[in-house]
Amino acid sequence: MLLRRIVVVGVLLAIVVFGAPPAIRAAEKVTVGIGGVGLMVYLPTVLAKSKGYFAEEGLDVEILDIKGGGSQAASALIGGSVDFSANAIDHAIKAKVQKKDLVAVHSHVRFPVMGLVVASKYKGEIKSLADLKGRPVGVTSPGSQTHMVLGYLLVKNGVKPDEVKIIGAGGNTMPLAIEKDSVHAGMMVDPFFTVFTKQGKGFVLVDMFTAKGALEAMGGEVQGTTLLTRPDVIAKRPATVQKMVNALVRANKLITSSSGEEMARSLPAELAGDPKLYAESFEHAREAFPPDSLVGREGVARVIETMRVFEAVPAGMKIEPESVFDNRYVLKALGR
Amino acid sequence: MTRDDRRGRITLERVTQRFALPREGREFTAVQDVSFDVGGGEFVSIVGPSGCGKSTLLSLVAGLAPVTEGRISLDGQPVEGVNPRLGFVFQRDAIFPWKTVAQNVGLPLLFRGVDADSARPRVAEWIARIGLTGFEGYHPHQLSGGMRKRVALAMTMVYDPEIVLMDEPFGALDVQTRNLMENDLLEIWAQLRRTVVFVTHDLEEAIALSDRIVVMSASPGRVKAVYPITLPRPRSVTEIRFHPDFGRLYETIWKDLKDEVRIGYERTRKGLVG
Amino acid sequence: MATSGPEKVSWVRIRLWRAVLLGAFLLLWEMATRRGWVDPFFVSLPTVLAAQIFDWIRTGFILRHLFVTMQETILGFLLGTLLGVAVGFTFARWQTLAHIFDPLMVALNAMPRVVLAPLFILWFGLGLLSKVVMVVSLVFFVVFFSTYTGIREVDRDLVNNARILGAHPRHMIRHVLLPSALTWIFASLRTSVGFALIGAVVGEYLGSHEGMGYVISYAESMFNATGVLAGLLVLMAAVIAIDVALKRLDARFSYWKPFPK
Repeated sequence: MLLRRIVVVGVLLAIVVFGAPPAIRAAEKVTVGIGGVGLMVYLPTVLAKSKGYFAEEGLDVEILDIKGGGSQAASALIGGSVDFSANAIDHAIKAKVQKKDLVAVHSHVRFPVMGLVVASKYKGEIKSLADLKGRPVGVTSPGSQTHMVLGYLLVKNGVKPDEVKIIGAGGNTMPLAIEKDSVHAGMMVDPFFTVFTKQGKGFVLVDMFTAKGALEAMGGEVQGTTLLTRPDVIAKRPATVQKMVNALVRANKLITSSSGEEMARSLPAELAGDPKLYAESFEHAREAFPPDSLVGREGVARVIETMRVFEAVPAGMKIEPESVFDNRYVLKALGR
Repeated sequence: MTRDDRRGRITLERVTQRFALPREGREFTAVQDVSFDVGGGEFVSIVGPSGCGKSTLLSLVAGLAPVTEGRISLDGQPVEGVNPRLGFVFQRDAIFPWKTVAQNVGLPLLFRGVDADSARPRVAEWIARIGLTGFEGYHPHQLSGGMRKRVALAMTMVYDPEIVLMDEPFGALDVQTRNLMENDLLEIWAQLRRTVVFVTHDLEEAIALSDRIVVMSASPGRVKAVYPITLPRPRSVTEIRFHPDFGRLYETIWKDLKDEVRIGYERTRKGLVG
Repeated sequence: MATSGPEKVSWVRIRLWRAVLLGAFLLLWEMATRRGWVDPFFVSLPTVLAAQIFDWIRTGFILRHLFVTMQETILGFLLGTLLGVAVGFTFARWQTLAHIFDPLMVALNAMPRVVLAPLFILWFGLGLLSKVVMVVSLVFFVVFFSTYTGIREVDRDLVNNARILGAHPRHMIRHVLLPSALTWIFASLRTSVGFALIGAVVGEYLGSHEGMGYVISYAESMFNATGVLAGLLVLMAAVIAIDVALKRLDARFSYWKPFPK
């Protein structure tokens, strides 16, 4: 009687252990910090989760929407509260300046994917970056990529950054800040950029969503949002990193081969918002997503230089681009 | 300085004062059916056991609170609020701690719109009268209890009130200082001859100072008796005690007072603070 | 010289011990970070901090930002105090008003204003106004409650005496009520200065292009612990300076109080 029982239990166990789908069997918990999940630049990570790509790799990814923008997400990564963060590579460079290492393992977007929008009421007054002198201009948050890029653009156009009142006005609150005239212009990201300009509330001074616009404004390729992680995560969980990148590479492939409507449908309703508008913003920014997910060395080098111009990187400090990114995982995912 | 003796008359007619005690859900009668007169320029003391309402009477005369029943008149005019011809010396220090001696004494003049040039000599005069010349710039906390009392007196007298009410003014002082103050008071009063109503529980003090004494019963306070004090003036507070009539007066009045004091005492012992 | 009390307090020795303690702490901090016991990325080192502050002062960088913060703090502080005294006085005088508004005052005071900061920025913009409003909202309540209590607590005998001496309502306020309430008000001022500074800094931290809050926020976003700590130290120094000034002011206005206070 007892033997029968043991056999039954043993068989059941075997079924459970070996017969269960891989996802449930080996679901590994991973946390990713994002400073504002609604933004277009974080689409690969968000899509990978909603399409189940992470789950298929055996990862249970929790996305934490971190208030305070990119810098806070990067802080969370440095502090250890999250394992990964979807961040502009600028943050890895800032950390490097302070002698802390962060590594980018996947490229989400290849351009800054932002635009400098000016309130419509200043149409006649503000015609160039030089006209921004003495005015309040918004960036998403102090020290963010929008801040670094704005700084670079100003310097490149002969304006000293402290001749402009640069204020952190948030990502999703930027349109409001411009409407209320708290800032006369602001660095906007999508989907807000498209909506705002379509509604006629503002006009574009600098458009870095398209390859052409970005190249013109920045003088060449500029690496944008990446997936960042710490060296100790790479050392202790290299397989996890590979799995994350695998899922993200799939996401990028899907993105670069889909239409705007398909994208809008793939996302949870609260992130997509108005599907039509989302589809439109997506089409506008589509060029930014790299089909091969590779971080570009030249792009990283340019970021370092723009930050140096803005004095975010001290004049004498040398930073090798290779020290902040690692394409190995992407290459493996691509089968190269 | 001479004065028309008929100014400064106080008349109390059937004065009753009741307070509501909302927390205990009842009314408390402080004084009941009190009637007596004070003539112009008279020095009248009110004595009685604790809680007999003598302080209440004084504040009613001062117009600080309205009477529940009855009438109080000053020279025939009914009391309606604070009367400017009136002075009041409080039991506790009611001089202003953040003002100097000179500022304190000058304050009533300032309130009454007396210009600075006219006020200054009057202030100086009274500071000299109370013997505090040289202390004009001092603050109350730098003075002794007796000195503070003298300042209070000067503050009251500087604007020449016709009636001066005093609520156990010397109670907080030690015996020697008290005697000195009493003498000072008599001296000033002899010069100015104002009406004084003096509340005290010290019978000796009352007899030494007054023309008449009103004895109050225990709560609710009624007028038990009124005694004329026939001792000669001018008096010295310390020496008048040895006058032959002093002892007799004391005995007589004390008999009345004693019973009331005992009643009051018994009440508080039983927890019936009436 | 007579001894005051059973234990003689030597202020010289106390100051000495304070210095020793501070020195030991700084030494430990410096060592710990240099030896790698603690990661300097997170806590910086005393020497680096000092160098940063010195550099800031030399280039005048910090002066500009400190000035802005002080501007907001002092403006808001004065406004908040004025309002607090005015309303506190009005309510103490007209008790019915006090009773009507009491629940509202308590509720408003209980709301964490720091959390309201983003709303203030939304309503009043990213400039000076929103920071001043923040400060006022913090200072007002402290001063209001103190003034109200201070005036209610005035000695009844003083009030009665003033009445008998012939005081008009104007006189009563100026010579009796206000001086009496001043003790309370002054006590509350020293508390509220701290709040004032916090209000200004938090407002800047959340949305500004200048001021100590901005400096700290920017340094934080650049992962610059040195900048953050240096900024905090400068703020600390500012608060201490203001407190000392207030202590002197308080002493000056308390000339009439008996010693020891």
